[in-house]
Amino acid sequence: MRSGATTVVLRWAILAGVADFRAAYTWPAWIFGWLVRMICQVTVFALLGKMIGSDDAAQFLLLGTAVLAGAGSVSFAIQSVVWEQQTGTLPALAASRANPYVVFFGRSLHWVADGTVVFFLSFVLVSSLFSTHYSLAQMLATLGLGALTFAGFYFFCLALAALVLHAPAARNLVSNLAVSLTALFCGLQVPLSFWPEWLRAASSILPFTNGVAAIRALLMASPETAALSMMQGLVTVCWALLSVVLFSMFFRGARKGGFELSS
Amino acid sequence: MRLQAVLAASGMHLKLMARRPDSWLPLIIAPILTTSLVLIFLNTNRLNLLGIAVVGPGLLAIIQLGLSQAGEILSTEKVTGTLESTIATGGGLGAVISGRLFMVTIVSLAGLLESIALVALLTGGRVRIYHPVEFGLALSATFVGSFAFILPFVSLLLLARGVRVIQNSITWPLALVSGVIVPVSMLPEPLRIASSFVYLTWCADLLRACFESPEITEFLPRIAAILGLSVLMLIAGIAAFRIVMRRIRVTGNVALP
Repeated sequence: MRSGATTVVLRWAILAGVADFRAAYTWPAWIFGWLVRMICQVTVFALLGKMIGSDDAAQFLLLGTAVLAGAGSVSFAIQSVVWEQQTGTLPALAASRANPYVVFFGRSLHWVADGTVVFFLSFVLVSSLFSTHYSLAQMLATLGLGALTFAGFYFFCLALAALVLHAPAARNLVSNLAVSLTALFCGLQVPLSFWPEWLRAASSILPFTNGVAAIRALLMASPETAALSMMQGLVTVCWALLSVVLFSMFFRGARKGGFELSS
Repeated sequence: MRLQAVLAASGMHLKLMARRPDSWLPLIIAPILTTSLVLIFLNTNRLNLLGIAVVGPGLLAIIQLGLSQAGEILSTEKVTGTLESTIATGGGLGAVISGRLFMVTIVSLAGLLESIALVALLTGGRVRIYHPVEFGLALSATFVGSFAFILPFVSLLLLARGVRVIQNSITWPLALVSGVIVPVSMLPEPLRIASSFVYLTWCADLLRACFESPEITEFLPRIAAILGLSVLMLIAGIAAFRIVMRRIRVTGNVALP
């Protein structure tokens, strides 16, 4: 397919996703039903850090839980891929000349924007509640690194979604476990130093580990920020390639009649 | 007849939950939160806070499971077309709702029990129930309070679309205000006042105290606070149910506006 046609498909896929999102959320529902919920979750863990008795612990838990809050949005990509299967559009996508991956990539991309905004707003608002203020440059860099981190997690979710298409009933379970387990092992709320060496090494290929470490390094003005950001970029590319491969395998199998296209 | 209907509805709801793996999600996620909290406390050497890791995720699981199932109780009756016929039978819709909600609340308590078992496992048995009788009574009061808290949602979810937003979003605001993870003493004064009107605050306080060695003070007044708030929530639940019934009798239908 020509690149111009791919751009058109991508554009319409993104617009379809945004239209779905706008149908599901009004502004008041998003603010009071979603953002406030996440701000409360971040506040609970920041208070827990304070109760433990150190500002470092409070800051650690605040940032980690804000990332967790954003992840809660991005993980909806797993469900929204399966919604496509439920509405019966997969056979048409399989028959189309367009690459189905482009459709799925664009179709759920709004969750990355949503997750990044939820992360950023909950982080900045709760930080200010705890009298922690950052410079504009730090905040903008945090927003950028947050977007990169959630991009990595998005591709991770797309890779999982390609697998969940084989077992669509597991979509909610997989989505929730993807968030909870990565939070546990990627240094969001439990410091990586707590885990044994082999587990730390394994977690470095997970989508949050380097990105969250990069944001922490940035806020402490550590020189490690650039290296960690580059590692996050590399991990993001790897998950993107894996998600492309898994979707290709699914559609190749489906075209041969091996996999169910409708649930 | 009524008791039979309650028991039959309870059994049916358990079978329905068994067929839907998603129903158990809060009980699957709770141990991960428990593990995170235990590791946070182990990492910072604050083992005196382990009661939080036991009680917090367990109470959150109760609320999450209860609220997610509340939406199912009347809406599935409506979708399957059994709502009207259930009203027409001698058993009555109230008995069916009570039975199903009873089972939801029983199942949701498993979140608390799995948290206790997991914390004991992760810490090599460093957590123990110092006041077993008080724990049993506090757990029973938590059961009553949770049943009463979820009851209004069963009907309200059918009446107003906005209630679904509350259903989806209330867990963490409630966790903050009621101090299920961070005690309310850490909250600013206005929130502390609000928290005393939330039954979970009293449940969290009492249950945590059962995992600490000092004598529990003002045990009975705190149990009375849970039960008093439960009565108010039961009244709200019955009032919402009556609105649903009135609407069905007048319009022959009940639906989201």
